[in-house]
Amino acid sequence: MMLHLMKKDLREHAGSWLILLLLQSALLGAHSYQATQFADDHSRLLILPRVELLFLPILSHLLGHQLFTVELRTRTILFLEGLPVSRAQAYVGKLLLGLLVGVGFMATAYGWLIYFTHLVQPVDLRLALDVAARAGAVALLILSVGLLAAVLGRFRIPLYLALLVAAGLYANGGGEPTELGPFALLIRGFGTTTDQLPLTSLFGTLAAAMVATIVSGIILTMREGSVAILLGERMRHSEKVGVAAVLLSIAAMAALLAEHRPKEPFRFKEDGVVSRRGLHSSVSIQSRTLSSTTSRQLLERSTGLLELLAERLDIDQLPPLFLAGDPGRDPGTFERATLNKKDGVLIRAALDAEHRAPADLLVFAATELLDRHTRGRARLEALGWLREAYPFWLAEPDATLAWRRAIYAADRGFGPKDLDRWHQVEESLGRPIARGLAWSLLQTIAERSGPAAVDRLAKVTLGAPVSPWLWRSLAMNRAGNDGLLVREAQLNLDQLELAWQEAIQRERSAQQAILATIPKLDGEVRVEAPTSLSRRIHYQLALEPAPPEARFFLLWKPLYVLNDPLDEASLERSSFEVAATKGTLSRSFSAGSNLFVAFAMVVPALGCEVRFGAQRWVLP
Amino acid sequence: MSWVLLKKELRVQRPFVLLLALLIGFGVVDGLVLAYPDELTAWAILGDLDEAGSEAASMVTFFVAFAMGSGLLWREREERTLEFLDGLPVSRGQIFASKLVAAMVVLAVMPLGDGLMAVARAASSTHSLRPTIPWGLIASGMALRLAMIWVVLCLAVALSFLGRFAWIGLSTCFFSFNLLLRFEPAATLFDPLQLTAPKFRYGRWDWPTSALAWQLSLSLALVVLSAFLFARAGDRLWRHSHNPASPRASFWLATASVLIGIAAMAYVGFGDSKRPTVSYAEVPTQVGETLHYQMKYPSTLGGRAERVLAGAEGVHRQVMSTLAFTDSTTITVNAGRSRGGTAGTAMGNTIIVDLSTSTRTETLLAVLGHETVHVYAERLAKGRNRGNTFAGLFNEGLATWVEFERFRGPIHRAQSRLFSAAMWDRRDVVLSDLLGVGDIGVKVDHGVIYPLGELFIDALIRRHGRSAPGKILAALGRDDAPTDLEPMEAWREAFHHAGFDLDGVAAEFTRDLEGRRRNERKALQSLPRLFTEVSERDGTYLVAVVPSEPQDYWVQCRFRATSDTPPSEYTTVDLLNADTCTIRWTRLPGRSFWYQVGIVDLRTRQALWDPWVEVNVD
Repeated sequence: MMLHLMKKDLREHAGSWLILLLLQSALLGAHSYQATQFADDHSRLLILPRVELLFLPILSHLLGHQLFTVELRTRTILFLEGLPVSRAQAYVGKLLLGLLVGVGFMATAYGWLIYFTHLVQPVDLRLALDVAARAGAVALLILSVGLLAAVLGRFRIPLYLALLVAAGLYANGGGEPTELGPFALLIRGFGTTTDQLPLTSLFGTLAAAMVATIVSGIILTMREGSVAILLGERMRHSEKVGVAAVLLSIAAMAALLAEHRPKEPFRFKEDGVVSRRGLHSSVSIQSRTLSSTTSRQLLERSTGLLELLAERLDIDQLPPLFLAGDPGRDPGTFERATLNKKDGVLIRAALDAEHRAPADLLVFAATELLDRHTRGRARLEALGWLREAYPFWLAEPDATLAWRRAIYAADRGFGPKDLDRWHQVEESLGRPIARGLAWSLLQTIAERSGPAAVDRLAKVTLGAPVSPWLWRSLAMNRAGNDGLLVREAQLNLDQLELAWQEAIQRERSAQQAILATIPKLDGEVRVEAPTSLSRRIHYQLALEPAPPEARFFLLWKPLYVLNDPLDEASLERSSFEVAATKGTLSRSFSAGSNLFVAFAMVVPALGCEVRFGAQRWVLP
Repeated sequence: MSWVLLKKELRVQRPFVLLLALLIGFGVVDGLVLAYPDELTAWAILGDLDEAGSEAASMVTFFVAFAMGSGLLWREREERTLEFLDGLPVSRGQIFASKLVAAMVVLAVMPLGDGLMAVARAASSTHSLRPTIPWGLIASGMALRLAMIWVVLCLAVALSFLGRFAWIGLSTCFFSFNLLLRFEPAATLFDPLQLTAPKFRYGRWDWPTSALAWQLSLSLALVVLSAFLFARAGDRLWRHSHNPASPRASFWLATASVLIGIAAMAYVGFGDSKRPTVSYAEVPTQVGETLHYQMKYPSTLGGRAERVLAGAEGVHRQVMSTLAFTDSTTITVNAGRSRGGTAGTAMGNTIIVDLSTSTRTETLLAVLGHETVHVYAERLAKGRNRGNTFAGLFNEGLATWVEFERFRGPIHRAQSRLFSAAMWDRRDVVLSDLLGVGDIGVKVDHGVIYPLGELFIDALIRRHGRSAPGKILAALGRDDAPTDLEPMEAWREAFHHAGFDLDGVAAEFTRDLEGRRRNERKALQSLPRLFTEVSERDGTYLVAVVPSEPQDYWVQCRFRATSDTPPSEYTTVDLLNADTCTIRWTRLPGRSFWYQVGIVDLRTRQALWDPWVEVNVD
């Protein structure tokens, strides 16, 4: 009787099968034609996954619709009650028929493609079996999920959405969707090699297909099929919205949980690692080229500075610091890697060179640690100068050179009045000069109000524990430097300006001779419009006196429509000889685009690269 | 329009409003509560209104609007409440207008929410470089999203007369539209997602005025049609679609429409009878074999193939000895057309060598040697030597290194290394581009992995010996290799397992490049720098290049529609006896296009490309 019912279903939907066969043939034909027209290196067997992924979902949906949905929704399924066959037999027959028809369709496609591929490349039995196993497993899964969806009636769309959400969460959690079950079968080595059959994916896919089929069977037979009939009814509007809301909430919560899932803490796994844990800090150094004695010396100095920083700022525990040796880097260039928030800070540097004079590296590291400690609050513009200067000040740098840089900044018109627009200061002067300026301000405060005032300033801004709450962050952003200075250093901005000017004059007199050797740097950029679409950049440099055999850089970067501080590492640099004071940038830009342009040059007297002529353009 | 009806419609849509409120709520929690809003970067300000989230957000908006529009009229019919409405003293026109307005009001919650979020983000993250709220940008983003919602809503309402086949109708429209785009790129003007794709010029949002005009006109036509159908003939259509007694008729209707669509596209695609057709006789295929190769080739290239076969075993021996591999599996060689304009490709155990690219046997043998390295590398690593830019750098570098070492004259290696130094000197490529997972082709050229990879492998071999690449590949493919690592970490682990240090090799590589930059200054400065100007005339984009005929090189231009256009779809133009590359705008129909220029060495055919440049157009 079961066979009889299957034959009846087969006959009843024969017209539909024919149409589907036509559709499949059209798809195969189009792909095959394309393969003959655009000869490339891809195996023709790769057409099978494309057809499978496009055609099978449609087929399984229609099969489910015809075999189950219509009968359940219109309740003609109750007609089966009157037949001399058990409900289970009738439903299992329908399920089997659905799977058989689907597999039959895929077998047709498979047969054609094996033949079609055989015309241009050898297809041995092993490859044919490999492809059959992969494609067959995927086909069974898609069909069984399609049939399950049909049985789930009004909850089929939520099922599809839930699968999508699950895939999204899998990808969000670091998983690679192409490595997942059916996708791995259709992607990894499909049709090209037999060495890579992913058995785990194969069995996983088959198991998933079996589970879907069993669940369908259970729903269809549970309480004599009334569950399936109930599910088959149409979903109300509010039900749809409710299901969507539940799915969205689950997705959002799961994403949140995945983000906060505890992970194994970072640690160096390579050879050549030395570590030290202090009272408030911990430092690990990894280098294959440094001797262990040198590594330990560097470790001592690092821990020394970090312990001092933590004590002055009253920080109980600084995030861990990891220093990795990278001999290929230029000295003075540091790269911060991205670690999980709680793992600390990893910095790569040319430790072979840095260990002799590690001050810059340690200041950089301390700054990054403060960023992490303050959850990024130290990067806010109003605190930028303190973030830049305090670790530097603590490291007790060469005061003469630092004052020289501050004098240079003062000559360019920058001073204490610019503390609340620190992003612009850094962009105009470059980071080393800006740091010199910031250091000089701290030094002035220390001279006027005592070193304790400097520590207090830093402690309330960089050392205070940061609340994760919204109100706190907003409050911090609104705090200007004037009030902060009055409160912690008993100086307002005007008083600081006066004191700083005096100190600058004093230092200027002391360093007059060397200051005279610093060339006057000026640069001008002109935008030309050769056509209505293109813009060209002409530059002109004015140096007095022009240093012989020096080089200068034109720094530039296309900008987004909204402004932000520049990432120094992302700036494009075109290098020129100083003798060529005029020229044209060999790049064309689009009219109306945003562009940053600046000049830069290493000035030996200042011991760093100096930036000038910085400008943000909306190219006219 | 009746106010009572409008209120009733809004009441009905309350669950939908709640759902949208939930979506917005997630955004508020994620962007303003869990994160510090004053630390937000410029890229995050516009949020879903802008590039960072626009594509996903536009898709969500599209489907939400379509879901609501397709059920707007149909649900009344489905739940048989339309008959009740017909009994009220309101016209069908009033019902239609009320429903449309209510749907638009509800859907407008999405862009309004996004706009308010953008204002909150901008206000809380101002600084001296961005002191004000970008009201104009936010308003433009909201307005364009509203326009998109309107267009999708009109389309959904029109398709809702197909009843439950509305979604099939949408998918048919989608596939047909995509096929149409292949033959008529200007049809992109009808893509609703184009309305919300952000383009900025002169500090403002560049409105897609043409697309907006066309789509609003179309939506107006759809509204008129829908209103007419709803008032007059729609019931008949619904009856066909809804009658459970005739599901087969409805199914046939839908299937027939799909078949008609496929047939129409097939005709457009394959049956353009106006074009002259030329057909050639089939060329018989021949097979030649050596100990390690089985080659299939067309008989018209038999002479070249035989010469290649004669030298093939020598190639195999040289590859084996250079890399200290041992393997005797037969490799299948197809003399077909290779991918992306290359002379050869390897996949699995098969190599494609395009014999038509050269008449010189040495060149073809070099290609065979290059691809043979790929086959053995993949076999050693058991296929795990893929997955990111660094994998490309290593694989192509290894193959190129062997090619230069064994099969090419010194001139090829010298030119390749000069171009590498030039890229390094100009900062077109930095180390993180090569060691990261990014796509270097988006910035400059996928081909940079050949010359730079060759230098990387050279650094590896200098540091650890000739067997080093093989050891690393074997470490990747060993049975107990960890399989849950990110691609770059897997490489690092393989280096470590083989007893080498990836960072040390990278350092050697950068030192080499720095040295070349210093020592080859004169040669680098002698490389021609290309200046370009772009203009538009009569629907053609013109890229004028100076110098157009540099000594020892020829100039090429390449065009692409978007930054993620695959290389196989780039249009390449040789600048021969001309100073301008041209391309019709219909090939690049968007509101911006990309071009790049490069020089190709006359002797070695190696290319050095400038970075891509985007051009905004009206």
